[in-house]
Amino acid sequence: MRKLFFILTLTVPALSVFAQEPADALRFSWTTPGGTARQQAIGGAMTSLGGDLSAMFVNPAGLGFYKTGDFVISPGINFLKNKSTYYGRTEKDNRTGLSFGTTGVVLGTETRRGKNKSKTIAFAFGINRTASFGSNILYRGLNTQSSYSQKFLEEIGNDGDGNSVAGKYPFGASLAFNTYWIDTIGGGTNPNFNFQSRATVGNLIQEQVVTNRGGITELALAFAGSTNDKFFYGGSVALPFLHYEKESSFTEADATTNTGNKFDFGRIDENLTTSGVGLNGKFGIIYKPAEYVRLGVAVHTPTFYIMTDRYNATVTTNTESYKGNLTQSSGDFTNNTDAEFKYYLITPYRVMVSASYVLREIEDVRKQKGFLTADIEYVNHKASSYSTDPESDNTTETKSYLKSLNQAIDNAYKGTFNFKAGGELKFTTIMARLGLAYYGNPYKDLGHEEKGSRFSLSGGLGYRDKGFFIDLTYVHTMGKDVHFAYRVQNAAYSGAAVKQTGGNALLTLGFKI
Amino acid sequence: MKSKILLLALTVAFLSSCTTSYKSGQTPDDVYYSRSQPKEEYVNVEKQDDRQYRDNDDNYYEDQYLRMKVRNRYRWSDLDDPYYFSRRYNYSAYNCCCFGNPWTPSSYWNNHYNPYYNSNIIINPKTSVVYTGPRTFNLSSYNNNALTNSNYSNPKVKNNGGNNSNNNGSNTYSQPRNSNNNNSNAGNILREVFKGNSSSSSSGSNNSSSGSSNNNSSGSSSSSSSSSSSSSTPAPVRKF
Repeated sequence: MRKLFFILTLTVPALSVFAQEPADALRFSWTTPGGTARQQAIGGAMTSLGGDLSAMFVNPAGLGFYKTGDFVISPGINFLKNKSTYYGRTEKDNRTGLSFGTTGVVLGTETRRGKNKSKTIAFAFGINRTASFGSNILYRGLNTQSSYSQKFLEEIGNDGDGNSVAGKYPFGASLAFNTYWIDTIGGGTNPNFNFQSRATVGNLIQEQVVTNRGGITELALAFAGSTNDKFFYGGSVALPFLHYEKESSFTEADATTNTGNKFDFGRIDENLTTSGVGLNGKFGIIYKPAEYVRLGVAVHTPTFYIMTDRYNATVTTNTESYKGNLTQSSGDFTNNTDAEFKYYLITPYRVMVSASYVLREIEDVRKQKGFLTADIEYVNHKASSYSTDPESDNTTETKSYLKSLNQAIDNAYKGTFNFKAGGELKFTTIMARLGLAYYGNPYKDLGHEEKGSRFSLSGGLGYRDKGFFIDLTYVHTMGKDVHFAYRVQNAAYSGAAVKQTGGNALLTLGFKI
Repeated sequence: MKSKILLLALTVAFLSSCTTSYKSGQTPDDVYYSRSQPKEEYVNVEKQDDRQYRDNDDNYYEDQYLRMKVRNRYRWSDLDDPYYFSRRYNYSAYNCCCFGNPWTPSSYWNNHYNPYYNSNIIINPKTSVVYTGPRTFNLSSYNNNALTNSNYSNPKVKNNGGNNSNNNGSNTYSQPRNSNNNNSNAGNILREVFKGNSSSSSSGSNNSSSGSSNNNSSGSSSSSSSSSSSSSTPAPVRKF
């Protein structure tokens, strides 16, 4: 056994490799950022409004409105229900968790005061949850078209060597082969075997259970300024810390009670942890062409991430009277360690334009009546790009695969427009807010009803007096997405249509400093 | 948890004190318009409150000491002795090599329960990573191939055949994630759950599938695979 392990450890790293799938890239670009309760209540629009700490994560120029200082903390709680439909059957799953929005400090002041020559500067330091991955997905269905095992068959391709198939694919096909989810076709000889699935293809009950956790927490430092209360500019540098955990379990079982067809069930459990740290910049301007009117433009640079994946897999197959109930883990090939892959990821840039109408821009809070604001954001989801880490796996095969992966991302996704709008009514110290947001479909239709969108309605109340302010917001989210347990090239397959319903209650407590 | 609440309360109290200048009058709203705080106010504070200044801690304590000594020369004379502190605290119960003093290097905080205690370091015998490649995926499946279009039937059409059809028109199920917990019997459990007969419960407080099971299946099959109830056996690597 030791000899076998030694041989495998020598061969495994040198094998032709595949890599992350495009869905991984989309997860890190199709995000719904958090913010302060005030910003979230108005749909997240903050490109032209300014005067709120969350501006440092949207358009830092908005910090140029600060001539005072704020310290804010934004705890929250959220829940997400997923209703997934797979081959006509719908299952529900849900999750509740804690969240937090923008928390930090901003200090602003006037450096020069006077008619047509006033100048302000502001500095801010803050942290924000720019993406939350937490969700539970569950679906089951009777699949009469294909089997997960066909994915293994495609993984081995034209490899006819039984020994190779038994050890060369330790996170998929090898586990399936050694547990007889897939098997050789009788009559063949090594190394010219053909392979078949032992699953009862055409009559399989399938189940997918996924638990997603983690998010992106961004730490940012921002600078902003203004001249003559007409032109505002700002920039920020941010370090996003990404952590994602996925536990996935897929099972397919013979839908009949036939104990003589040599297949009861096959099951693959996969665990993945992705962690990384990135760097990005955000820059923007806001211009006031007339009293009450604000126009804003902001650009978010692509985020450059240094990432590490750690993963493992286990396959269990019951072939009834044929080979019984067998299980094998990738750890059997990797000395019981998780596989580790280090790489670089660049996520898409973002561009946003916005307009606001503010009534009135005056110091006396009794005369401040409210505002309306709207943002349009463009995100090019297909601009995500993977590359190798020169200090890690930098082989030609991996480079080639990542190039193919980037091409697949190009094929699978597209640029989208997101819309955010909201308004506030102010009654001296009490404020009421409403907002909405729509995140467009990032999928290209590849023939499997790939489509998704998110829509949120939000409302909130705020109170501001005696040097502190408190804002309370509820955001109700409805979304559509599609989840694929597997994709195969040579058989029909289907994704589960996922309908999401979520809520996020957010509180922001702030102090003037 | 209590310490977190206490910390939060202290933070709020501290920050509340920062807002003193806004306790009276209006609280600026920077979204609309605000002005910087007039600097004159800070000057006034300094003038009026000269008894409280602490521009330098050394000066402050020296002033305090001089004031006390003026009031009672003998009582505070020990403070002039540069060895006063070392005499008083050396060899005391607070500075011995025993566990009484929590601040000494050999104290409770530096004993073997402290994960940062650097004596007798045990290095985690971490095994080296064997596989450093990426995860596997067949990217060709992301191409829009004709085969799937020809065979594909819309999965979201209800009553798609098989035993998941539903007589009352509702095809929504609320079974728990139960087949996730038993590898050896996953086939039987999945068939039972699929029929809507399972009563297993889900796990995790933040992680649940809702509701109880519904008996909406019109299927009549009963799963009874005898071998599926046996525990799974580790599979060897096949050899040819």
